Amino acid sequence: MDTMLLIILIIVAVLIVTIIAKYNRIIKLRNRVKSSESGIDVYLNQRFDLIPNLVECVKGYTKHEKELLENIVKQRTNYSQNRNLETATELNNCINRIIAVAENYPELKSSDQFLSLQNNLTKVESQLQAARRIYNADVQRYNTTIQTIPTNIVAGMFGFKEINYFQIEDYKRENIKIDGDNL
Amino acid sequence: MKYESFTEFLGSLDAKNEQFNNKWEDLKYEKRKKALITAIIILIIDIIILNSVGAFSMFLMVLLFNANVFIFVISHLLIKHKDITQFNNDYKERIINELLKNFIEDVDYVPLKGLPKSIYDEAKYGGFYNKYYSDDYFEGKMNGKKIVMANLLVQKEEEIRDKDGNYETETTTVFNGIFGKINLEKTINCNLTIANDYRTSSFDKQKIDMDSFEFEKEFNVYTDNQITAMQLLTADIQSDILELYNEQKIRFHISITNNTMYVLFNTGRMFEVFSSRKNPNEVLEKFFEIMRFIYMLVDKIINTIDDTII
Repeated sequence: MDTMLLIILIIVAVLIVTIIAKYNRIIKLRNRVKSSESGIDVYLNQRFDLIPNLVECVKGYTKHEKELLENIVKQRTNYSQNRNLETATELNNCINRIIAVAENYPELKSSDQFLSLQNNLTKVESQLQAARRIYNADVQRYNTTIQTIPTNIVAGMFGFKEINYFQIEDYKRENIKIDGDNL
Repeated sequence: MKYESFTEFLGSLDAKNEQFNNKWEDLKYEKRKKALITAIIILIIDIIILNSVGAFSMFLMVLLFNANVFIFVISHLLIKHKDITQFNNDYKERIINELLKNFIEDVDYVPLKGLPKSIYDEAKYGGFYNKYYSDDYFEGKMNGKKIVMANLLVQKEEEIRDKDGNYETETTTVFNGIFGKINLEKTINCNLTIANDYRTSSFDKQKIDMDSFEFEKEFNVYTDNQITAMQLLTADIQSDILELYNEQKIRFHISITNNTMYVLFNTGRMFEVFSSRKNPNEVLEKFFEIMRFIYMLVDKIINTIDDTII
């Protein structure tokens, strides 16, 4: 009887240690995801901080982009009130639309202020892409861990959920139409 | 790069290379001839000694045998060394110089000169060493950037005491291959190391995870700025580096500190044509492919750094 009890105790102890180890691993991976998410936030904010300058610069050269400029201001307000990846993506798309529209204004495109802004935006965009790849790689590691046996059991027990990938490049899939009627 | 394929490059060498191939054949024939003459002389001496002694003993036979082997090996090495050194020096000045010119602009190649130890130390390659040997120094420009490169043999020599209490010397090779320093002009404002030679780097704690499984399986990346590292090592660059590596399978270690890049390619001894039994053209082809790999990899990294706004 004592031997049986000892075996049961050992099994329970091994199970507890395994659960703790798996739980800690998931927590570690989730914290990494959170840390890389804050990295994305830094570069998104840097990018969005350039919006007032961009709006001022574009306003000076274009007369028919009122709607677009108003929209970007609206999206920025929306983002500052409700900071999440969805609003960030919307705002980012607006910035990219302005850059695309600027292509149709040669004077704007060649102005020093716009070139400097474009350079800064390209730099931040590149850093944002890097941060997004780090985030998505961390998310992939986290999601794979909580989906594989036996960690999925521990994940289920403690309610760990899958995390969505960050798709900042959605605007690239959109068909940005710039025609004469819009200008 | 003037010629992308070895065949084109070989065609450009024409008569110059043909002379060396003929000389190599002659040298091989001379080597065999001298070995045969040495063996005959040793045999004659043996017969004279045995005749003068008049009696055959086991001790004498063993002594003679050992003496014969010793004399043969020493004389063979002396003859070989002198001729081969001369051949290699001539070959380097004429052919290897042309090979380097194919990949490096304004190349200045000095076969007997080495790279200072201090430059190797700057790379922080890791691993204790107490023997350092360098030759085949060359400098010039790659993709417009100033480079200095050389052949390096870095070893650790230590006295090891066996179980009987006797000391013996053990030599471990830390690095054997082509080492180079490249001035990038543009700074990346951080440290970045890409390596697949399994050497523990001094930046070991800064190892980062990459987003390409295939790349990560083959290479380790160390940095103190993960964002810049990811900006430079885009998915395309990771794939290109992997593709280049798979062509040649030469293990390397690339370390960039601000505006300086240090490259270490584990190629083994380079530019010594006669150290192999192979025909000089076959050996030259191997060197050409290695230099092509070095050029393509360095060029790719320089272009990436130049094109990225950091």
